Amino acid sequence: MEILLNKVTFTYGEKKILDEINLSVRKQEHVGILGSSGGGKSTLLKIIAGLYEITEGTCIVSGCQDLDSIRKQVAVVMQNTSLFPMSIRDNITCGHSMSEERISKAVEAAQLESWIDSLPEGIDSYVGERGGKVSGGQAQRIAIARAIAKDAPIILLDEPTSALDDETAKAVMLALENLTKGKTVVHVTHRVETLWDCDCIYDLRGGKLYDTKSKSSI
Amino acid sequence: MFSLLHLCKKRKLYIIFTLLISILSIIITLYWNYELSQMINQVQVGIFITSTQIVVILILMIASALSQGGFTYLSGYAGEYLTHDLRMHLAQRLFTKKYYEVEQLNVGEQLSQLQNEVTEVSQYLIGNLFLLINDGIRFLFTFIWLLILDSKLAILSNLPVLVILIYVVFSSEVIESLTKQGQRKQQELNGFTDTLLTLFPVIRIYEACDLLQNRYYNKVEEWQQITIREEMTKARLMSLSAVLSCIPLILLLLVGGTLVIRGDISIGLVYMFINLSGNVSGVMMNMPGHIARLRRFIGNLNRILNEEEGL
Repeated sequence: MEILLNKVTFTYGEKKILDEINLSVRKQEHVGILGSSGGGKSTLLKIIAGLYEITEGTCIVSGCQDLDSIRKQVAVVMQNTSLFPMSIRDNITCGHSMSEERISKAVEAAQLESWIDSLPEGIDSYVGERGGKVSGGQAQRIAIARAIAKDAPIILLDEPTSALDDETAKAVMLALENLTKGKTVVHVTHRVETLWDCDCIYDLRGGKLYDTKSKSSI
Repeated sequence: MFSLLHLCKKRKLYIIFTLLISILSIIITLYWNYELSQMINQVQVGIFITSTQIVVILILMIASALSQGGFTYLSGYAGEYLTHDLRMHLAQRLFTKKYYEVEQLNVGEQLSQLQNEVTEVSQYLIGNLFLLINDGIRFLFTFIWLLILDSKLAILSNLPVLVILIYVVFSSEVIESLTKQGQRKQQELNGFTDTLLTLFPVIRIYEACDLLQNRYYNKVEEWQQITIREEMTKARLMSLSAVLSCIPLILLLLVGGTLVIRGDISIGLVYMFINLSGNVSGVMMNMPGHIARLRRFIGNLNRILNEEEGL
């Protein structure tokens, strides 16, 4: 199993956010987690990403249990703009040394190539504070390029298209397809229609993960 | 400047009273100096000081203390009211923003505005603005008074003030430019801090700590460099300004002394000119610092009142 959660409980202060969650995801499997706001889906994603320490239970991601090692196995694309106030290049490499070829491949797969070519400073263009100099769709595609460049075996998606209009979301979906190809994916959302390519979908309500459902049943 | 006038409009009554008491205070000072010069002239020709003169001096001393106290009280009061209006304006601006605009707000910048800019503006309104106005009134009234007493001596001894004025304009421009750079750097740093906090999960997952830490250190260093340069420049320019402000006094001693020896003017008059020279050249000496602080204040105020974007 690529991801294995066994009776995972997470409490924040007095409040139990996740209650005895069991989840197993096979290698290259695409799993969708459906839930409304406040249901704990983002918390679950952060646990899988190695950002939160669980209160009880076991969480194994790519055979790793310590948070530092888990984080090395995952790449995330968040709902909101998550760009650093730096160049496109810095946002993709995050300061790690990377070959130009690897960066170009990430740019291409994220459908950014033609846009970057049109910029006077190309990939070294500044994205502005909070990505203010680029559109929402471009910002998300830069975030996708960053995830592609990391080349982690597990991709975590936190409603990556929910803040975009339909037209922009379509373009971002293409980039997401390239990102998730051949990877293990956990996609959390409150919109079932965005989980069209998932192998199975779970329902997270009140901190509990309910029976696996097929897409048709939902 | 428009923003300052806009802010003052609501509290014009307090401001008018503060200005009136400032004028009263300077008139008392001038009259006190006049009385002293009369007494010096009397003593020089061997006439005793009368009890009436002593009573007048005592009354002037009390009046001077009261007017000073009144000025401090009223200027503090007016400053506090202006600060209150400013804080209310800021709160109102936040409450009436559209949701889309609030979403676009940079938390770091907003906090910076609340913590740094509003505090700086408040401190300036309470502690500096009325002192600057008071200095201006002191300068104007004293110079007119000196012109009335002896126009030739007043013009001659204060001619270098024109040179000082040009220097003041130049030095305040230099200081202002550095102040603006410092403010810009500080703003950048606040925005960057906001990013660090907002994107904390992304930074951890993509191991971007080193990249951001280096940029953060660079930004802190840039800010520090600008601040050091600003302080050094200010110190250099202010010292020269202090030297320049001594020239009118030297001229006064030279010209005034000669006129006294020739018997054209009394020693009391020269004493009064020397005593009041601080109100003219002394005010000028402090002007670069005053103007730099005023410009910094106006810059902060404009940003708070949203009249211009950034600097």
